[in-house]
Amino acid sequence: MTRNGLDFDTKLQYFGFYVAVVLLIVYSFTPALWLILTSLKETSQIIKVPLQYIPNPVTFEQYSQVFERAPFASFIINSVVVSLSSMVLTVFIATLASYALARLRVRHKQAWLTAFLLISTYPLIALMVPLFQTFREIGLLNTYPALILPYSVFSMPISIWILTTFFRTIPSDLEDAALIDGCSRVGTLTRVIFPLSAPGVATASMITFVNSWNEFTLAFSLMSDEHRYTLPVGVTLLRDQFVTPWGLISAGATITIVPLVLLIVFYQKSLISGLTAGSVKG
Amino acid sequence: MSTIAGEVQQRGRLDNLKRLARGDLSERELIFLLLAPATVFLLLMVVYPLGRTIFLSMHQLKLSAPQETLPFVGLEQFAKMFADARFYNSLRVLGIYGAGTVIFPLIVGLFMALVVHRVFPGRWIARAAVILPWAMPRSLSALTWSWILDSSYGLVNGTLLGLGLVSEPILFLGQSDLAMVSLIFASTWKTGSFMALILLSGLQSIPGQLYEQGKVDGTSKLQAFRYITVPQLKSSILVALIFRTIVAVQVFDTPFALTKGGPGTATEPLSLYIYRVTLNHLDFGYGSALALFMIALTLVAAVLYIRVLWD
Repeated sequence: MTRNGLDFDTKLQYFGFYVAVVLLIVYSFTPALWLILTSLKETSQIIKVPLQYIPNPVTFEQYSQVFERAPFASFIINSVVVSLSSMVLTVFIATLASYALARLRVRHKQAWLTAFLLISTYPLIALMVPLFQTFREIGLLNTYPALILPYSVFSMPISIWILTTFFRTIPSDLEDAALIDGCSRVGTLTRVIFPLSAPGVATASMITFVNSWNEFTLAFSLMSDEHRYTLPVGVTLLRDQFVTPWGLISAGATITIVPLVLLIVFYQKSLISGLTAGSVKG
Repeated sequence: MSTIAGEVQQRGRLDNLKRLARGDLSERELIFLLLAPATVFLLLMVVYPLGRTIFLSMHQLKLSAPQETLPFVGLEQFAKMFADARFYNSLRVLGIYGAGTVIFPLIVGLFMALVVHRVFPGRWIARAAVILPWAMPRSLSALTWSWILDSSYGLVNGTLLGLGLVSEPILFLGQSDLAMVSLIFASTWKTGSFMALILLSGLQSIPGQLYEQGKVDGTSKLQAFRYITVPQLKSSILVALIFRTIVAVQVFDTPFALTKGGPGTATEPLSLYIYRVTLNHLDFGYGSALALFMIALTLVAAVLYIRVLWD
């Protein structure tokens, strides 16, 4: 057994540990579970007193309703386009910068990394006015680039941190060998380094994707046309009606978190390692 | 008049271009090429907007009425800010919210990190439980909590009523103090995850020999935690705390989706007030002055963060 295994001395300690595990699971999963349960009920079951916990009968009415009562298909398309585009753009640019910072003799390396870190802390709400004005002047309001551009910038620092950390783990012998064999510097980059850095790139991509998928502040202030809302904005604004349609909100929110849950289930290890790259010494 | 020297120079330039086209760059050229896109992006999306914010904070711009000119008002809007009761209210809210959502997520995060640091069957479910709150959009997680805490049909009130623990529903989001408690709770749920991940990477970097040595010396589990884990985790805890402070200062989505700042302005932090001034009252000038204050607040925390990180 490894040092982190369950080397408890008494049965009581084992019991206590599993109680903690159950507590953790209940605490984290309750909101998502309640969303799903609500989304599968008829409206009459949702507003029933006393509370009805389990949907009976199970119905997909809320899901079909949410597509009818809001341009929900547009929300999905907008979110997918914006998140994927900013992901590709961010990771591409971050890969270039990270390679330089990890492998080449860049002067003031620490200053660069610090500057990127500092930029990632810039408050989004402070961008609302200048971006709104700038994008209105150049006619970008209510277009995809209005979100893709700022999202790319704000996920760039963490991507650069993840990728820089990752590039440092690739043995430099490989590069040297390629250079000696007459490979140009750019060739070394595209033929040797990029293929090897796939796991790091994947991690940075996932985190960028999640950041963009979930962003609310800018999506809310730069997209005023309902057909341009992203999922978090579209679902949140469903609330602004005389009677809050909790069934529709639950269905919409459930759809929104599906890709996130898939990422968690299949890529939890890379997510965990990637997320902390920017926050602890690399 | 072309001279031989000129021709040589020109040919030199041409060769240089050919060399570049082949991808045969010197290290310095490559560095420039690789760092340029990121730098340009960051300048355009952060430094340029910052310049505009500073400019606007000293000009009057209200979109609520047509305005021909852009009058320079100097520091007037900052003077207005420091005399604005609602601004002070937003700082008070931020103070309470900040204190609560730095301390509680740390406790929750530490608990989570200690659980998933161990290897046990079914650990992946526990791990998923740790990441799920991080992965949920802040707006939707807050919205979900407002549904769970709903006074008429919410899960919490429904359960409490059903068990006979209360005789009438609790208005979680309708009373000032309870709304603040709910806001801190929802935010703690959402942000404890990230604290857990930072602390987990701290836990993983503690050398195992320390514990083995402890065992030889006959220390108990509790003593090991107190005298090995906590001191070794100190820098991770510090990083987590400052990082959390930076994010807490900027909080917007969670109160927007949970309480809309209400009741009244009881849960309206600075960012929500900035949003109201800007997009509801359409006062871009004053909004920029407020935004500049927010940037300054963040910067103080961020500088602290960087100093700790490099220390």
